Amino acid sequence: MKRVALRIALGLAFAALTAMAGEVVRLTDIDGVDHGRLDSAPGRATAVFFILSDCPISNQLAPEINRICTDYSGRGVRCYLAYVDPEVSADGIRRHQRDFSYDCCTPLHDASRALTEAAGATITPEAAIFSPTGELLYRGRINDLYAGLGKKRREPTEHDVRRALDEILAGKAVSRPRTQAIGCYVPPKEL
Amino acid sequence: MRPLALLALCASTVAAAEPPSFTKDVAPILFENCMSCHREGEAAPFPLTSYSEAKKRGALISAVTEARYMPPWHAAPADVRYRDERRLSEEQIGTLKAWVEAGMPEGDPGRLPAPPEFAEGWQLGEPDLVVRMPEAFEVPAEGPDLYRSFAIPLPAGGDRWVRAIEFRPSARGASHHALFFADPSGEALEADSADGGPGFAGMRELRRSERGGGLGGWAVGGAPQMLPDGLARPLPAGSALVVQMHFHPSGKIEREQASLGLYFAPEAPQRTLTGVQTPPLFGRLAGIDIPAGESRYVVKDSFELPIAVDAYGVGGHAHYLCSEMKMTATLPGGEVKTLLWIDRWDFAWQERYYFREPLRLPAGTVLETELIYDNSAANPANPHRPPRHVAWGRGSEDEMGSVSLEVLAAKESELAELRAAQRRQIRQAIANRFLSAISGGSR
Repeated sequence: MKRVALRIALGLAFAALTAMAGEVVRLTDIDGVDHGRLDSAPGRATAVFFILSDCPISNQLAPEINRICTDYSGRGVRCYLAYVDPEVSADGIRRHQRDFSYDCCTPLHDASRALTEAAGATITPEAAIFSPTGELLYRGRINDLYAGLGKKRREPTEHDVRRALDEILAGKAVSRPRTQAIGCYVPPKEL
Repeated sequence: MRPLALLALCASTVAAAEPPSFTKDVAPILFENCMSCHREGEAAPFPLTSYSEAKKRGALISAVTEARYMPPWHAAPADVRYRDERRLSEEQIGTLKAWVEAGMPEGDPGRLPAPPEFAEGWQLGEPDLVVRMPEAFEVPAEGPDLYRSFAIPLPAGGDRWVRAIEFRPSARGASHHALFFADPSGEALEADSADGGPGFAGMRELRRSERGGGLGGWAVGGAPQMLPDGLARPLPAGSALVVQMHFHPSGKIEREQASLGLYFAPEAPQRTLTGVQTPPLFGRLAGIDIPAGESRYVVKDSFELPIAVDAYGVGGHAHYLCSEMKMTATLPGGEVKTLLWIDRWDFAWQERYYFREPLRLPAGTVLETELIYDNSAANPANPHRPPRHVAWGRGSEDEMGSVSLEVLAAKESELAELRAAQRRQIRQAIANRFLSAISGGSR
């Protein structure tokens, strides 16, 4: 009981702090539909994939992002694609979704960078996994298909996002909460 | 120190500390080295033709140039200069980095240099013959890199001489490089129709290039080039054109139906372009036999030129495990010239490097090749996990290795001597293999 009270108190304190810092992040899709707050989300976890429509490494991982989201969507994981290009239009995002057969998840345009900053993402593609209270549980590469720029493996040997999701769903701590993503950089907010 | 001198010193310090700007410092580098591909309709994924386009990619530009991943150029500095060298200097790389660190200032718009002009359509002018792959090949959305060959029938005619082939892929996001071969045997057309779908798998056309049917190649970033000095490569009557392509799956299904523009010489060239490959036959007789886990397996071979030659270009071939290759020429006086050094071999870049000026190598020059292979698990390109023992073979998961110098006999009448010496070298290599086999050695 004491523990629960402590958790509630901590939770309230955390909410108050983030509210004070003005860091409430809402998930709003490209059609303007509000999917709620990042820090009071339904389900077991929220996975966000930061992408650029003209980053080759980001695009090469499109089929795997699709599969991850399809595989975990029935298990309480919500998936979003966050486009970080300040110049991309909603139509440009829709076209990219069609071109790369993205049918897994809701696309967002993170023009304000609120989500990118909440995750601390700097690369595309990069994944972030948040708890339902908005705690960052994992950030980094999707898998190790790339050992470095221009150093592509034949196939990945480490599936970091899948492993993190499996651990979260099993109620365990994420064993490698941060990894280095390889790809393009998140462009400046203002061009 | 006198006040004036102090002032001058201060001024120069300020000038040195002034960060690079886009218009003055960065645009000239990008225009000259990046824009041929990084513009609308070309192979690169995004344009780099304006300030906002460069600012958007600033951090990436700095990272990929510092890692020497871009511009794509894999030859380390050698004792010869190459044509169309796409290698940035340390100073240029430093400028790009300093510009990003300074917050990517634009600078005075009035200082922006005029962007280079590019020809529309065929870069070498109207070709003598344009052919297209008969059917489109579907490149899958993902999976390992793919190698596939396509046989294109050519209109009937006599022997022809090819000065250049300009290549225009349709799947720009997925097509990485192409090698061209003449096949007078009909085998390639048969293989193409026997294998389901357009083209055929594997690298069997290397067998043809071992016999000398190579017609050059294309790689992302490379500009098409005419052979110099009226030189040309033979395209015998009745040949099919074989195009071996390398694809990187791009994340979506792409369709490749490339067009090729062929440029012919009006008549047979007076001098014969020929290859000196060391070790010969792509290393078939070099005893390549790499233990699993071996991180530095070295193969060496040499060949003494019996006649004087003019060298035009150099290129290497190996598969995934090769990490480094080098060819040097030791001149009769003892001077050693590095002709090619690829210190980070990448299977994806099978390029040929042409010298700015033909290089005269006197009779008695010794060509030496060194190939280094990394068959450890730490090599991300290693196709086997865990590593496996790998020997010579034509499959891409086998290994090969050689460096080829493209030469002309200084005196055409002496060409036969060069070819006789090459045959002797092969006979000697066969004898060595035989001796090593009967003495029980593995090499």
